[in-house]
Amino acid sequence: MASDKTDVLHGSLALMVLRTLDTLGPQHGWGIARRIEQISGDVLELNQGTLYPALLRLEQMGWISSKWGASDNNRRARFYTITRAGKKQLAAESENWERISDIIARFLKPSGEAS
Amino acid sequence: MIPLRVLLQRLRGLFRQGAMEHDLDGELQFHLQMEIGENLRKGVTPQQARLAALRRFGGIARTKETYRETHALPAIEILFQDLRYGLRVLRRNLGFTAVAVLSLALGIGANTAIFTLIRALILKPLPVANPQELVQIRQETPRGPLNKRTYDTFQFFRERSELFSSVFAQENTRFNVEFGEQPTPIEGVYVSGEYFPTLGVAPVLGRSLTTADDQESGGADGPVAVISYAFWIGRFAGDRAILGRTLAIQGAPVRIVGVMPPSFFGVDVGKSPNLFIPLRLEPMLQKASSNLHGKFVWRLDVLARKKPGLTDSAFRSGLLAVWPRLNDFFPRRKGQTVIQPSSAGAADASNGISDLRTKFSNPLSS
Repeated sequence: MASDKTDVLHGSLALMVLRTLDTLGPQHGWGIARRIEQISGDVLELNQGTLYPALLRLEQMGWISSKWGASDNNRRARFYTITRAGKKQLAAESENWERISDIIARFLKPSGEAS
Repeated sequence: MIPLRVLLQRLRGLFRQGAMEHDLDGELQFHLQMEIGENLRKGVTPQQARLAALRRFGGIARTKETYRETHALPAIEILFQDLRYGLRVLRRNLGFTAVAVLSLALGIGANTAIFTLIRALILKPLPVANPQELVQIRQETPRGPLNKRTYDTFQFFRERSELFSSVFAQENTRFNVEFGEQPTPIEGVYVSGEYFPTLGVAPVLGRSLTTADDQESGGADGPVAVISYAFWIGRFAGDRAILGRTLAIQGAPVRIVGVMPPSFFGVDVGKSPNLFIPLRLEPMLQKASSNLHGKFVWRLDVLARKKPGLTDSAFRSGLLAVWPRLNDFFPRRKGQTVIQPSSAGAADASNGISDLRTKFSNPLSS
């Protein structure tokens, strides 16, 4: 496996799914997987199978809901939608994520610039 | 720690295994087809497109396994499997199962029966006014208590107003009642006039017995009796015309003047008297075999209501003080003592009295 591709962290996958559904509206699993890969510029190789248990967990938490419908090519597909609780969670998690990445970034700066 | 919300979802998931598998299959199928379609557009062979899609997905079986574990509770599923397995084995060994179930049933049944007995004999208070004030006067001996009193000593206690607010006597017996030609033995009880006023039980119909009824040949209404609710319903079909009706009891005409409430079975637990008859009618009903006033005839249960406000120790010392005077009722040689002064006893009768209890309460409670 190429070393410049990154494994998807457990918690961050949830964040990406919520963000995708918030931006694009209802999506099926494959659509979500493709979107995540595209956004990451195909740097992130999602083990697509891991997406489905993650979707189930999010649904159990009440952050997304799912419904069977027809896809663009008129196939039966399961569509996921972000819920109101999911949006709240997304806002909280985004903020949290930014704070952490900010802290990490400070640690990784050249030592002379640290204040 | 699984959040409660998720736990409930998963419990729900336990009962939707079939639907879940079906949905998941459909969903993964759709995913792979979309991926294969995408690959085909890049101009690869169908087989290459399929392999690439599967590689990208990363293990369908593993995904399904993770999904199932997330969907429900693996531990509970295993428990369900064990239960199902257990039931199958039990069904295969019917003989063993029958014996096991039967022993369990007997065990549970025996426990219930014993507890029912304990409750009735020991725990349940009488359905009367202030049962906690009731005591049974008895004589304590090294060989256990003597519960029965003579009529003379009953009268002696009845006069001890410094100790008791009221005292009554009763005797369980059977009366021959003539219905048509046929004399039928009916379980009943002789009660002194103070019985109903002391217990404070109100009749459902008519009146109860009073001291005025407790006379040699009856009071103003002549010889009277009251009956139990069960007897009224069972023998007289709940007919209100029972009041004033005369029954031939032991060959003597006795008028029914009241019906007791359904919850009232007298003070003797384990007995269910149907006829309550004034004690002093005994000579009239028993005729030649009467021995109510026999000096040495110990046949009466004597119960009393302790005087309210009397402390336990004051009651106890008062009882000990009067007890030796009981000897006056028994003709004896000089210096001989029939009743030991220390044998004074007044047992709690809030739960009623019972010969059954005297026999069984120690084995049951220890």
